[in-house]
Amino acid sequence: MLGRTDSGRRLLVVLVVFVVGASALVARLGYWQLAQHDQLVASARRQIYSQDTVPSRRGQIYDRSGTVVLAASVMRDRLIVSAERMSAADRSRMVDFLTAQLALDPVAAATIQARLETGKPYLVLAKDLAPEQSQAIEAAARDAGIDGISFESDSIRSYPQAGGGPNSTLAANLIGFVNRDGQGQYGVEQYYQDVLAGEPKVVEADRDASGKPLAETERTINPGVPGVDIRLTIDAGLQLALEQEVMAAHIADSAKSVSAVVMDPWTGEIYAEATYPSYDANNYAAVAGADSSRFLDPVVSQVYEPGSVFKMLTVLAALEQGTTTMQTVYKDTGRMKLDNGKTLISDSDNKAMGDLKLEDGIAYSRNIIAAKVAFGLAPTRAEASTILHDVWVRLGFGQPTGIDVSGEVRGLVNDPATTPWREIDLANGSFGQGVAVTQIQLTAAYAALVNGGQLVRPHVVAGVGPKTVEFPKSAPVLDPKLSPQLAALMEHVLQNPWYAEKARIPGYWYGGKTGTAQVWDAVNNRWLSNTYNFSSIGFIGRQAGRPDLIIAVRIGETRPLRNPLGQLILPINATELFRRVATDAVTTPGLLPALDPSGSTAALGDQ
Amino acid sequence: MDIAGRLAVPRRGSARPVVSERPPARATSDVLRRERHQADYSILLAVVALSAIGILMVYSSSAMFAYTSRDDTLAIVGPQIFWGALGLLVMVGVMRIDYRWLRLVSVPAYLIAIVLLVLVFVPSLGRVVGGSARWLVLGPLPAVHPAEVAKLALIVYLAHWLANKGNQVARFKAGMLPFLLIAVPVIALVFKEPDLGTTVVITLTAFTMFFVAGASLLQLGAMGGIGVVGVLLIGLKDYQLERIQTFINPWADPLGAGFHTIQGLLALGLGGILGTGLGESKLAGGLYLPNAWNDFIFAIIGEEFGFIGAGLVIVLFLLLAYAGVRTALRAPDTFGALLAAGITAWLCYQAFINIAVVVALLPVTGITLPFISAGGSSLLVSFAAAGVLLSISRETLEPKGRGAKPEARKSETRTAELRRTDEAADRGRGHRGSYLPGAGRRERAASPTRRP
Repeated sequence: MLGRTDSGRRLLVVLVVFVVGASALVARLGYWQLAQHDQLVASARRQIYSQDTVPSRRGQIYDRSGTVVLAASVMRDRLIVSAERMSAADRSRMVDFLTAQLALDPVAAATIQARLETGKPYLVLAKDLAPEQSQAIEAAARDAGIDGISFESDSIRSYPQAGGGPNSTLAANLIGFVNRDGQGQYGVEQYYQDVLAGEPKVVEADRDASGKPLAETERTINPGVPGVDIRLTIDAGLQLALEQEVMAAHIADSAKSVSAVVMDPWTGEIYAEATYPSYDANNYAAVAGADSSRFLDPVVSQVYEPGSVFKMLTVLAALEQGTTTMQTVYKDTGRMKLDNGKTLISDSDNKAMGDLKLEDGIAYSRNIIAAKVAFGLAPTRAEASTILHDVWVRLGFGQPTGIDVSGEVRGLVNDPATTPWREIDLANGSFGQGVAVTQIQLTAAYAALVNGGQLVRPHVVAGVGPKTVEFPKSAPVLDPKLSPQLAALMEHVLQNPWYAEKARIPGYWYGGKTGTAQVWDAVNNRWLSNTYNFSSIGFIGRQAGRPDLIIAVRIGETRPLRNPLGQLILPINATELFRRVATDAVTTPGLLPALDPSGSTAALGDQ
Repeated sequence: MDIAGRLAVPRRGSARPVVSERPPARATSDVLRRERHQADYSILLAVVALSAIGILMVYSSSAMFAYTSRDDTLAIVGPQIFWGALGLLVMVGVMRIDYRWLRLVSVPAYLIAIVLLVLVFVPSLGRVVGGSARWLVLGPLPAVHPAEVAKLALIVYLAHWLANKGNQVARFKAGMLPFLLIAVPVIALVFKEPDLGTTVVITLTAFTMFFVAGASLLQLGAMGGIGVVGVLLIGLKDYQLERIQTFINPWADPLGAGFHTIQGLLALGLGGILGTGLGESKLAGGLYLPNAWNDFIFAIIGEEFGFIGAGLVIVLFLLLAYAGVRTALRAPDTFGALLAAGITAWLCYQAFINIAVVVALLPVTGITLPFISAGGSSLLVSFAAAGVLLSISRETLEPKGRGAKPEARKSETRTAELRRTDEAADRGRGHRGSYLPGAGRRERAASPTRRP
């Protein structure tokens, strides 16, 4: 008799193996189906549904009046032809049809004929068709019985206002442009990208067997948020005038670039801000290929040595310290040795004008006198350095002003606490050398000098949608009582015989300060010979005691002539450009506030 | 009368005392009742449920693909239904035949299987699909998958041989060595195709049978070690190595090597608890998940019926495993036990490996899910195997001791007694062997080797 040799116990072991295996499978299955469910679903959705984002309508950009459209998004259609399965007769009919509809010349018609002969299923044969135009073509095609034409819509950003120069659009540097991906680039378009673009609509569709989305299954996942319109503080009329002025100066002076800013000193609203050369935002691609640095707005994105316009800050520091008055007499020596004879400063014309009152020393822009004022700030050089640096920082230098366009740089002012200043550093600082500032920083600082010490935040957007944008005011950065003195000094400067004729703007109260600085060649590490930046910053108002506008102009990197007196001569110098801009600005209808019937009693009090 | 006495029948040449009378009728009827009772319907339930799910899911996952590629949604599920129906007939037929007849055909079947496996490599007959020569095309017959046939043939032959060998299987020269000589040709030929998944299934099944038959654990352990070293020495094909690397991190190459695994997991993930519903699979249809109606059909089940549905499939296979092992435990003879164990092990290993691949517990191997995946050879052979299992289950020695009847409890003691020998399978033929059923063999003299 044959005994059983199969083992029951071992069979049970096998069963246990199966049970353990099945449990492992169930556990793993549960891990994927329950624990990892959400991640896998998200991942699968991306794969199996065609998800598409449809950009929402981008917000328009208006000028301060809310009536002039500076930037708008419009729909433009592309005409698509499928040349698949097209006979020769079909092709010639198509060419004839398109020639008639699009008013093609024979060369263009021949090109289309050649492209149709490739037999490709997707040919873009016309772009930038207005919706009415494409509808008309569609109807005509239907009537003529022509098949294979379809249209695709694209949102195009359009900048309808022509700028002050050739091949430019209005305020291009300030507004920026929108690239093909719908991303704002530079300026307001970039800074307010989220507001303008809104949120895109997200649609999802199943795919058919060949992987293409099925239109009838399309459903909206996220309806999106439409873009919000923006109203700028820019006055379109003044902006155009300003652009024309800077272009004129650019040509007359053979400058590298000329820019100008007109700002309300009380609110920080930028009324106009222009640079030449500018660019055509409707055709930004051409500029991008040639010289993309032109997209940068030099007013906010470029630093330079301001030169003598900084003397006002030196005077402010001395007035605060009580170490000088407008009538204090200083001796202008023309040259001055510092640091035990190792360094030398001099006036721009190298001439000594002798004893001058402070106000005249500033009016004649004597470097020696500015340096002496700076040295007199405190008994020691270290203290004087700290005081002067503190004034700069209080007035916003070395930090961004917070203007609401993209690409603002902060500039650089050396802190004596980090590296103690030598005598030459203090002297240079007193007349604006050895510092790097932007034009918008200077504009904001000058506004604070004359408006009672408010360091306003410059801005270009007045309203987002129905809302008005509020920019909070800061605490005064200087004693309000000093403002009238500083304004009076600036007024005195422009009465100086050097400027008086060229700066005259009859019937208005105005003042300002000019600055000239050599240009540092960072590539070759030397000063460019006979190449200067000319600045002029000042205020103008309808009534004495109340500055209505701050105007800052800069003629960048030009090569002036020198007259026998040693003065630098430009066909349109900075003062002249200031006058022209100021004249344009004050004559812009509706820009200046109404006259105060009580006369010259101004916000600043008595002069 | 003691139990042994009651059962005692005349034995020629036996040392035990001969009882001259025929056993009482009651005892005989007891034996006869054992001989044919109802099949184990849980096996039938599992098999029918799985193949029904299979046909449903093959249709659900292939309809779109079949429609787009052949303009007929039934192009893939149609043959599956045909083979399923045929398989069902085969199963019912096989179930009604005494499984011991298989011992007669075991050797020829084994040899034919080897020949078929060799023929795969004949260029004019073999069809190479995706770098593997797995299909055999013989004249006008539909292409067959010889590895499927080989699985069953090897199981039958191994059961036959191991049952004959008795306790000797624990020895090396009489057990391990000939066992390897039987199993390795099949394993090597399938590996050469190359079909790694089926190789693994066959190897595991063969060794499981050997283990159950009483192999020496020491020898088995040594074989396992040698086997691992051997695989490393022979080396895996590049694509097999790549699959293993992909298994470690499927997301390393989501569009290349990891594609299958990731698509399977995405399908499972989409299913969640309750699934997307029948026919609602987004990954089926051949767009994303290739072989959706084949090796990866479990992923589609997971997607359309969720964790519940996919878990049910695992539970059905577990039911099959339980019922199969129970049949083996109660089989009337060693051959039947080993056959039941082999068939159960094969179906379950194959199912669990297939599922483990889908849930990324194992690298992609390319084996079908028994009863569910589309594939005629696989379905037919699986049904035949299930028929054999059912046939064995008709003769199991059921423990009946759970009732209150003392007689029944007695009967249980008797069952335990019967369980220790192959005696029950003798069925009164008098030779005490379990060799073959039927009257024709009744007069056959028991050979000396079949004596204990």
